Amino acid sequence: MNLTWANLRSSAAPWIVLPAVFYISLYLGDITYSVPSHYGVESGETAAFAMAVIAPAAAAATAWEAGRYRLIGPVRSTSTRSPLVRFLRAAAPALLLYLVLAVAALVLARHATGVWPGGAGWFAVAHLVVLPLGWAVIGWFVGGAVPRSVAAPVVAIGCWGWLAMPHAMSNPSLRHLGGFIDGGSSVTDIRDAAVYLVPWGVVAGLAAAAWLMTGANRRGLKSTLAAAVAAATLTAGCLAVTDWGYRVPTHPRVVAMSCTGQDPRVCVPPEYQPYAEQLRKEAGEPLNRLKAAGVPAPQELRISSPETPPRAGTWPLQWSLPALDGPSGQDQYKTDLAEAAVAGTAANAGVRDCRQPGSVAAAWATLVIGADARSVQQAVSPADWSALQQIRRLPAEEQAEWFERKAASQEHCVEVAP
Amino acid sequence: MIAYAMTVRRWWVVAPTLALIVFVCLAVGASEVPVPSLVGGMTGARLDYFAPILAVIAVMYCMDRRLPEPERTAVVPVRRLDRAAIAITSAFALGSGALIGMDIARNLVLLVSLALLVRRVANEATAAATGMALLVASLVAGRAYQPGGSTTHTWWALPLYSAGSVTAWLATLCLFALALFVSCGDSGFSGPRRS
Repeated sequence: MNLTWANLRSSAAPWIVLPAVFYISLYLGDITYSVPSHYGVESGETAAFAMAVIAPAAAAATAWEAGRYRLIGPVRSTSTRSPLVRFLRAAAPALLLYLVLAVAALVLARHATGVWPGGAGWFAVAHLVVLPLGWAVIGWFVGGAVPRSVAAPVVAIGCWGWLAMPHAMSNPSLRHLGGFIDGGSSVTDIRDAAVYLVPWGVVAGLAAAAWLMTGANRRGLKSTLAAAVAAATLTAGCLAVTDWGYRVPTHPRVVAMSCTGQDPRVCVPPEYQPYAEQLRKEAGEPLNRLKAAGVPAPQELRISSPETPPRAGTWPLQWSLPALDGPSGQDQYKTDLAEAAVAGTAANAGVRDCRQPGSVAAAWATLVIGADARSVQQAVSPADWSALQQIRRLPAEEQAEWFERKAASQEHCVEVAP
Repeated sequence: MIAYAMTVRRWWVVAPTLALIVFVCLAVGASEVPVPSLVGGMTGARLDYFAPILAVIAVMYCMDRRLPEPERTAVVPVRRLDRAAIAITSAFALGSGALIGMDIARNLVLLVSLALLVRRVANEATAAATGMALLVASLVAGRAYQPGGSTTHTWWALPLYSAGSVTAWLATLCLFALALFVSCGDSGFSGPRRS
């Protein structure tokens, strides 16, 4: 204990805490768009975003500690303690820094989402723990071989570059290997486990390569082996993520929905339960107007995953929490209901809707519901707007038939780059 | 003295480092990296803005390579050697400003001076990290907007000043003189403390 306290006092790691926490708070504040969602998975994933700051900081601190550890000379190789125990004792300040930053990230995420991580959010917290640990190990090996004043900045810059730079490149696979994950889980879809496991495997392979590269006999066989291990790791990682494209794979969330009301019933995930009654009330008049225009009313409005096909009589609703800087206005919900009408009508006709917003049919439904005509005009192309005006002059039954045809035709769907 | 500078300090690494900085600035300097900003949102920062850190790493590496006891008891003025080496490094950096831009060269001298001052009270890694922190803090909190919408900077964000600004050059020169004057000895945490 005395040794660790003396080690901590003479270490440089505590200097990094305040700037790193400040930077983490900026990062996390930047990705918080809505009011606190009380969603455990989002809390965990928000905390995991801080990994982009914690991993370079932990790697640099560990590299510096490894450089200081080299100063004890032959005691390194003649110690009776195992290498793991020696690593833990020598790198204690760096590991403590990393623990403090991880706790700070969790607290900031709790502040942003209103709840501690839960459910699949724990996987994200594990990611927050494992990935910087892997980079700390890489920093340890590099710091043991390269002069410390070069090793610490090089490892920090290299780690940050590997995490952040691939997101700006056109290659879709490289960004999934680093571990800085773009795109979070929503209330209806959760990230697959592979999204976390692939970066863990890659960082483990890179740590093994660093261990081989910086071992006692650095020349010849070990260097070649290290290069081979690194190449194999990257190749295996790229092969594992070839079919992911630019987005991470998700699967629909299995959770008991909280439903309220009758005609229409509104079913929402449990996190949105405080808003369910308000959604039901505000849907009343728009649905009546749609019914008067000839679009049959739904029995249920359901916030569900785009991958689950809706049942007949159910309209899938795409709704998001109010933004941080104030409510988004009534028209947003009207647009959401119009899109739900298109998807529900397509489902009634037996067609699987592509759930892409911005179709002419949705614009028609938005006008029927009574949204501001100017904002709808700005949202569609001039050709579509003039076509819409002509449709609006037709008799009501023909308009309803046109709407059903358009919704089922799925013309508005574009081929999204995978 | 020269042998000491080349073998113990390895001051010759400054030359390839400056060459690397010029290469990085010319090759990928225009690429942008995302940086969060206090005025809201993620903004971009050019890579060549961060290139001077490489020079700080090289200078700190050289300053870290020392034999404390012989140097403290030497008759030969070792500190003068270090000061001369840093002055020559800065001269070469300003010379390379013709290729990479005088604002990048000025930032290089500024960051080296700041690193030397911080190294006096702490260690080399903290010194390099402080330079990086100044660059990042200037981007995060030092960018302001004029009423017309164009970007400008707050008064303290020295790295963001343009290449022709006399104020920034004067401030850099003062900091450089201060760094040469008070530092170039042992770093803050090395060796037994003189109480």
